[in-house]
Amino acid sequence: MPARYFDDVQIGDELEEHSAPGREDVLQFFTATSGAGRMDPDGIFASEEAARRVGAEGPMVPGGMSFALISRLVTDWAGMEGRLDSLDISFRRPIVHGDGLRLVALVTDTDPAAASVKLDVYMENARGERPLQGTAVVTLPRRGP
Amino acid sequence: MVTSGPNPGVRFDYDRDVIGVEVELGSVTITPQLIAGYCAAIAETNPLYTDARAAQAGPYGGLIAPPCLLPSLAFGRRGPDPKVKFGNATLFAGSRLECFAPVRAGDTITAKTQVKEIYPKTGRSGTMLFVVRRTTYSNQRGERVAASEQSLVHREV
Amino acid sequence: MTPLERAGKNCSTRPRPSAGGASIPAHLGHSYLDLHAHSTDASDDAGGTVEGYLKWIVARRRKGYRIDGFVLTEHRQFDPGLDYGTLAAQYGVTVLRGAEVETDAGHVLVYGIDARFTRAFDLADVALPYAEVFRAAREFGGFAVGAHAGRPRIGIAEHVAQRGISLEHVEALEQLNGGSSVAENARAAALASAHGLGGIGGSDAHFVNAIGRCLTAFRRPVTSIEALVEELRAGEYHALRVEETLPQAVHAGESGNAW
Repeated sequence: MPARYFDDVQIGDELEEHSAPGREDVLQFFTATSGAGRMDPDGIFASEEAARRVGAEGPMVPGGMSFALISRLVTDWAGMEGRLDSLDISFRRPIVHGDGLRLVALVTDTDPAAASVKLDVYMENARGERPLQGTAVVTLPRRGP
Repeated sequence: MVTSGPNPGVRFDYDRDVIGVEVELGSVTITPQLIAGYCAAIAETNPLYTDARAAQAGPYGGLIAPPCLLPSLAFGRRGPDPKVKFGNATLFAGSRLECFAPVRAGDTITAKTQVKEIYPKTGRSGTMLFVVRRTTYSNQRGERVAASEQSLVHREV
Repeated sequence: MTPLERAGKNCSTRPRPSAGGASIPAHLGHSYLDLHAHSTDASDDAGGTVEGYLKWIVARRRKGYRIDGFVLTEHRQFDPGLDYGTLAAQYGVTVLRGAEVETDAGHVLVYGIDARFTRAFDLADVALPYAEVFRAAREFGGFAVGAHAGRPRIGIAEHVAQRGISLEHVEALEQLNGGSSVAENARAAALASAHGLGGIGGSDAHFVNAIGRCLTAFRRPVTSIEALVEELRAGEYHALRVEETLPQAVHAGESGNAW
């Protein structure tokens, strides 16, 4: 994994991945966090019918999982020496199993004094909607003298 | 127990007494197996979280957990319940995570949570009621390692 | 989770350009403004700061995009005391102020607000009488536009379709909204076209990267709210996406105008 140095980052830098989390992925996430019963008491992340009752078009990807996918996008970009300071996400529309998603992070500000970088992050679906948007702050190492 | 909203005539019933009352949820030991299962579930590849040997040579001298692991975990007890009687659907509206220190493999993390605030708002989906919970996470040495705020929205669909 | 496509565009490293914003060349008479934006200063659902927007616009200009400025249209409020002039000047970007109010027929962007308007309406009300808002905006020297007109509930198109409301006092719709889907924008454009209404573009930015994604092109430089209202009233504008401002792009907006 290549290191990411503060000195090389500038406003407008962009990173992007694609993901289409489906039923199996959601189950695996719940298993890994021992959370299915706790996190899905209404069945909206597994049942078509329950999801439709709350206005989604199908079983949803839980917010905690999409939060984790965006967090991973940022921490992988930051490399082993980088550090996630904060991640702040709003969920605006449901993400449904199998939605083809673009995961995007864009550098919007840099603070040379702290070697910290502010990023906008979002997911965009095939309809051009952004069901999830937010910001992240990361501290990066500086290049040696 | 009752507060008025931005829409005249809309009533929000909930228990105000729980706001600001912090409750300990329980503790979880962050085993290497727990980290590995979580990394597999989100296709994590950063060696800090997936490769003990590479992590050994990294900035923390050992394997650590991805920062987003803590807010995903069940810590045993549930937090205070404001008993909101509004709307027929409850959805995740927002999530914020602040990281203060690394969570290392083997750490035992204790979570404490409180209902931070409850407020109404009107948007695309009509009138909604937001409940914000703040959870802080500490390790076995009492160091605060992270805090998260999760916002749930109660609304009519 | 295995079916993830982990390949993607990664961050490239480029030399750092010199600091400072490129200002608008004076000989280019036309201007491109984003007429719909929110900031952390007054919209609790926003994550973008005004200075963040300014820095982003400067970075976009370096990549060849043309964004001359934006109008802050915070939700349900208008503070006449706020002034971003000094900050905006540092970056060579025009920052104007309007408001996004909420009516019984969806949200409405209002430009050129004065005390008469804020006395007539409680901006915090989420169900203002829409026809009155459009009419009063014009009467009091301003201009109102139906925001994200194609969106369910908060756009006017659904209210026209379901309740048959009149568009008598409505002169323009936001037909290119950065927060709307392609289908929602198409619905807005179809309504504007069917009723001979003007169509503006606005990003509806709540986060830095969205500022300037959707724009309104004007024939003249627009650097004051008075000039903006004048141009909107004259009806000589069209909506366009920021990609259309690239030098190599064909300057044909959604309305087919080209300048």
